[in-house]
Amino acid sequence: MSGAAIVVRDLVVDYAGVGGTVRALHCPALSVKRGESLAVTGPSGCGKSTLLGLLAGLAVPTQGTVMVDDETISALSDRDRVRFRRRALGMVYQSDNLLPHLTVEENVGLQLAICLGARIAHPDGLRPDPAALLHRLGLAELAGRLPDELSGGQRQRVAVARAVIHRPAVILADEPTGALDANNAQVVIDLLSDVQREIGATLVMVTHDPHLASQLDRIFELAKPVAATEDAGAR
Amino acid sequence: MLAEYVLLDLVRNPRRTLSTMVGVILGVGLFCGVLFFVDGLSASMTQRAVAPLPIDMQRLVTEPIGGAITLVQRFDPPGSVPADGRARVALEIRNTSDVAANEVTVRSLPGDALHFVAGSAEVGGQAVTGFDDNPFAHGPGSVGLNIGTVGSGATVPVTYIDEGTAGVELTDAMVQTSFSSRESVSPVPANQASTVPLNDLAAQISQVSGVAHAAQLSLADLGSDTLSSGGRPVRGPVKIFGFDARYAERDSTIELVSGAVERDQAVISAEAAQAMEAGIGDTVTVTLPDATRIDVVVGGVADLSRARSLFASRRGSDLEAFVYSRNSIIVPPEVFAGTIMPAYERAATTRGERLKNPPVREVDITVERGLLDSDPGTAAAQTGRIAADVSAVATQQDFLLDNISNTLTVAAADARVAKQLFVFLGVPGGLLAAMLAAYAGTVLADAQRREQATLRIRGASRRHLLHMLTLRTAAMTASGSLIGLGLGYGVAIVILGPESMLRASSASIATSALLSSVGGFLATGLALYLTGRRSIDREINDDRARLARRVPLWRRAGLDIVGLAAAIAGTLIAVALNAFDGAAGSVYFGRAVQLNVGLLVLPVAVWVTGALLAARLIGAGLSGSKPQSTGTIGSPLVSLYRLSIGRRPWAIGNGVVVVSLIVALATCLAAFTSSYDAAKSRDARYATGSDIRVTPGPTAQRRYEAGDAAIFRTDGVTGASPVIYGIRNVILRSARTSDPANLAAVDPATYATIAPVRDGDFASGDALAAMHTLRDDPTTVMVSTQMAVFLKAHPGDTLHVLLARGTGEQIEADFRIAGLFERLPGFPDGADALMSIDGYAAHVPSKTPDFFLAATDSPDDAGLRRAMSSLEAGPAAADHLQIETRSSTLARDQSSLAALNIAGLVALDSTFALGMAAVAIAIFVFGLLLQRRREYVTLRAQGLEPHTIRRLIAAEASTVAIGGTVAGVLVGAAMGYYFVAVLRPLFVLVPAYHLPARGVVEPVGLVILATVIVTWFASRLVNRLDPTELLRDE
Repeated sequence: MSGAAIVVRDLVVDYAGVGGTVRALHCPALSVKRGESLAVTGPSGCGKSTLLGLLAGLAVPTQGTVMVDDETISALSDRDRVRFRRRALGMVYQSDNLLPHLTVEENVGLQLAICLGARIAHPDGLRPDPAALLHRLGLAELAGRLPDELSGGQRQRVAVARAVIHRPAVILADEPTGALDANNAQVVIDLLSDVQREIGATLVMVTHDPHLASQLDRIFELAKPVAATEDAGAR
Repeated sequence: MLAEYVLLDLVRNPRRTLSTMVGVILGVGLFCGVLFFVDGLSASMTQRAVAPLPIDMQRLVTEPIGGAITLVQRFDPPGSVPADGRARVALEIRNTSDVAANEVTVRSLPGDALHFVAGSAEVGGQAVTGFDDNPFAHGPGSVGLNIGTVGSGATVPVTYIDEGTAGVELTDAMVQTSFSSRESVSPVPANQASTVPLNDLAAQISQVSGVAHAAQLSLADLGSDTLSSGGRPVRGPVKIFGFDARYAERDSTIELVSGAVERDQAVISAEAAQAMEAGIGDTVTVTLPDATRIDVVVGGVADLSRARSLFASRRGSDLEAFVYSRNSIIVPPEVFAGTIMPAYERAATTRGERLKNPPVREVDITVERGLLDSDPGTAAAQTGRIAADVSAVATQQDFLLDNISNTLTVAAADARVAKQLFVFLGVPGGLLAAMLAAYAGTVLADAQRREQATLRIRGASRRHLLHMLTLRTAAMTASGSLIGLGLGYGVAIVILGPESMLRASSASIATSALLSSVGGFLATGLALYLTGRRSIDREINDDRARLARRVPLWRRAGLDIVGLAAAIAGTLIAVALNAFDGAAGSVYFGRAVQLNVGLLVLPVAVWVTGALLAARLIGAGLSGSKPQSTGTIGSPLVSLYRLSIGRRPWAIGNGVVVVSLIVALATCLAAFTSSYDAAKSRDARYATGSDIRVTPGPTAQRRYEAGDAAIFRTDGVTGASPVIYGIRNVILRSARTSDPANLAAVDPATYATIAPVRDGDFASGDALAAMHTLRDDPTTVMVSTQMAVFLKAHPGDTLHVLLARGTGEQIEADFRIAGLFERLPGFPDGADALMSIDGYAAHVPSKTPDFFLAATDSPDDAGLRRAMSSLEAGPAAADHLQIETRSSTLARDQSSLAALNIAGLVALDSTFALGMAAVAIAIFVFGLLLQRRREYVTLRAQGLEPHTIRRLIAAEASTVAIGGTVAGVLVGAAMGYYFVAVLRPLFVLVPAYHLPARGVVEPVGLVILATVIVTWFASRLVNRLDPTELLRDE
């Protein structure tokens, strides 16, 4: 096991646009240490979310390599990338993306079931307990409620719980506070940081908010890709 | 600007556009197809209706036998009443025939303007005495004065004087004068135009516009033993016809076995030729009613056993019944007019009594059928005009039987019922189209909500969105309607054939096209628009909140319960009022099918409310599981499926409603078609008497005895049964009265197994017991209930039966009435009495069976074909046998509503229904994909494997498919039962309800296949969704 949780080299993502090839992302190099929290910032259209998608294995780069938790995921098959996500990743989005017909505890429990179904056990050999986590995050009272019965801040806290229940090595967050007010945003960031530290995970968070970015260990400024156009950002 | 945006939106989202348009296309296509089908079918109804008619019109001559007598009336002086106020009425009776007219009675009544002068009457120059008043108005009912016999060639003057006002103009109408005689009891008016000879009448009628042919036909019944050759007479009554070669050429049922219809020569029936051992060139002798004889040379031998035009009864009591006479002779019309008619006249005048069966003389008219309008109603008006023109030729000397107009009038009524029926059968398709469009619209609206929100953010108002919705809806429904129009026309051509569609009038096709496309455009357009509008009016977040718990309007309003209650109430009322009963139609009986078309609302109500109720029950069942919240999730697939259907059951319920409606329609149509086919087949088998009827032809080489039934037991034939039967072949005499009757003599042992005899046919309710009685006691007879009422006879009474009536072997025997029956299979012209063939043969041993009934070993068509092949290769190859089957009987039944191509319509409906089922499943699955794509990509991001997501989609689609098909089959079965009950009058026998396995398997199989295919495609699309984009969206 190396010291870097994430290593990115010469990463380029292009796509075919109406007027020709559009460059969505150019990231020459990025390295994040284990347990480190990194804020990714940059202008609109620089490819922050695209970068996060590549780190999650939800997309593949046009060129370059992506190594996460010692796996070169840019070279993995679709099936292996799924396994990788189950094992190593937790994700939080600007939208909570909770399943509307599942209660809070079911949304959290489902993530665990997906991982356990793949026989992924925590290193300490103990099965994570959704109830305990919800209690820890102050959500115990809401365990039996459907997402529609929660406020935006509560839903995002549930999303955080879902992202960390299986104690992933890496937590990816794409503007997790973008839809929240300042107070709720701070609550969520505090929660995310606490849990990240608690489980020893690496946190990569895309944000536009300099204040929130400053609360993380390091800030990575992603430049607009050279060949990119405004269209890339609008994609 | 907006229009351009909408156009780009439609073009750049081809899948979404197409999925919405498919519903419109199929719906409009089905509705168009049904209407075009009705047009095409109506176009062939005229041809179908008139096809079985043997004679289009008949001018029956009423000229009495010995009727060459005229009465001329004039005034002397003519002009006006003279100055003295007295006008002489001069009558002149002339007998130009060869025989005397007896008991000639003259009747003459002056009108109001004239008054009889007492004592002024003279007959033959002699004053008429002994009367105080007008002797020509003497007696009860002013019958007139009997002036005695008017000899052949004699003229008798009759005069009397009337008083009137001087100067008043004298006209024939001022005095009503007529005469009658013993030979001609019907009064003949004075100054009647001279009778036009039959050949001239035929020639004049043939010139009438719209008449294709007009030919004279004369026929008369001769007594027994009146035809002989070389001293060998035929046994039984003889029929003599007078017509020429052209008449024979136009009637395909007159089949010349040998020779030809020659001038000055005769044609004899094959049976007569066989009986007399006479052939071409031989001389036959005909004994005429006045006992004179004529010799004619045989020029041809004919099989007349199917010549309906010759043997159709002309008697009002049994008009058109096929009264066949085995022994017939055809002579040239000139011979009939010049020799046969005078013989009848002599017989009528010399015997001193009226002829019981005077000759029938008529002109048979064939109209230009090709010129008739395809619509029976219009065609009836055309033939009515032709009939009026034909009647105007030599009027008053005869009357016209307008068979074709009568037939077309019934067919027109049938056509109206057919159109109502077909529109009702097409209505479910139209409803499905609107529903499918609404369903697609709901899904589309869900998919467009985000886009609409974006547009709103960018400044679009509600008015803009509604404008865009209107444009989008109009574009899709207009395009879909046009394509559907073409599809419907194409399908109608495929099912009915291009000829039928080309026969349909352009106006009716254009009307149907307009009605269906505009109707489809409005119905589907409205459905699309309303769902889209609801989507625009709803807040996005509200919608998200409602998505999981939305309960449809129909359920909240309880429409299914209300509809079901209404259907039950309607059924009870209909049963109480006997509204399901109707009258079967028949052109022969001049009666259209009497359908209670309003009752067709019931199956439609059962269909809609049944599907909704099924969805309610399935939804209640799914939500009834009430999944409890737990943090411990087992299998992700099972848990996600269980929680999804348990907490948002109405998503499933909506899909179930759509699928069940479609499957129900397909099942109902399959059940109806199957029941219809089975019932019509049963009807045809009942009419035929069994699967096959073998009739020895007139030229058969061998004489078939009752014991020869085994000859017909060939491969595929389980057995045969001999039958003796004839129209008015016996006279039944009870203690009270007597009547000619149709007797059937059967072999009770085999008839019971070969013919579809039913217990209900017998008053005792036990067919087998009735047959055993006839078998065990050959002196018994069964009588129809109708005949028993007429005879005032009861079981146990003795019935005197004159067997072999009208033949040299006729004999009266006593039989005991063993029981009563309602009707019997095998005798479409009706049977009045039934006895065992042994009982018959005990008195008339020489009589051979008229036909044999044979049953096949397999009830299906393949079994029938196999049996037919073996019969044709066996006994029929060796001898002349006429073979009819239940299939040929069914095919011949083309003259009523029952013969309509319902199978074709059902095929059309079913095809579209199955297509819509596939589309409905596709819309459901792709709708899931559109509505839940964020869920699916979230699950992918969480690490759920794609194949698990595919299984999840498949599981939900399967739930809809299974729930929809199960509910659909149940609802369809009930709906089909109602359809059969409502359409009961289409059948002769009470139809048995039959739900074919294939009719269930086909729609179910197709829905399952569609589910598999669509799920496979949908799951591939899930893999192609861009998670990065979808997951960051809000």
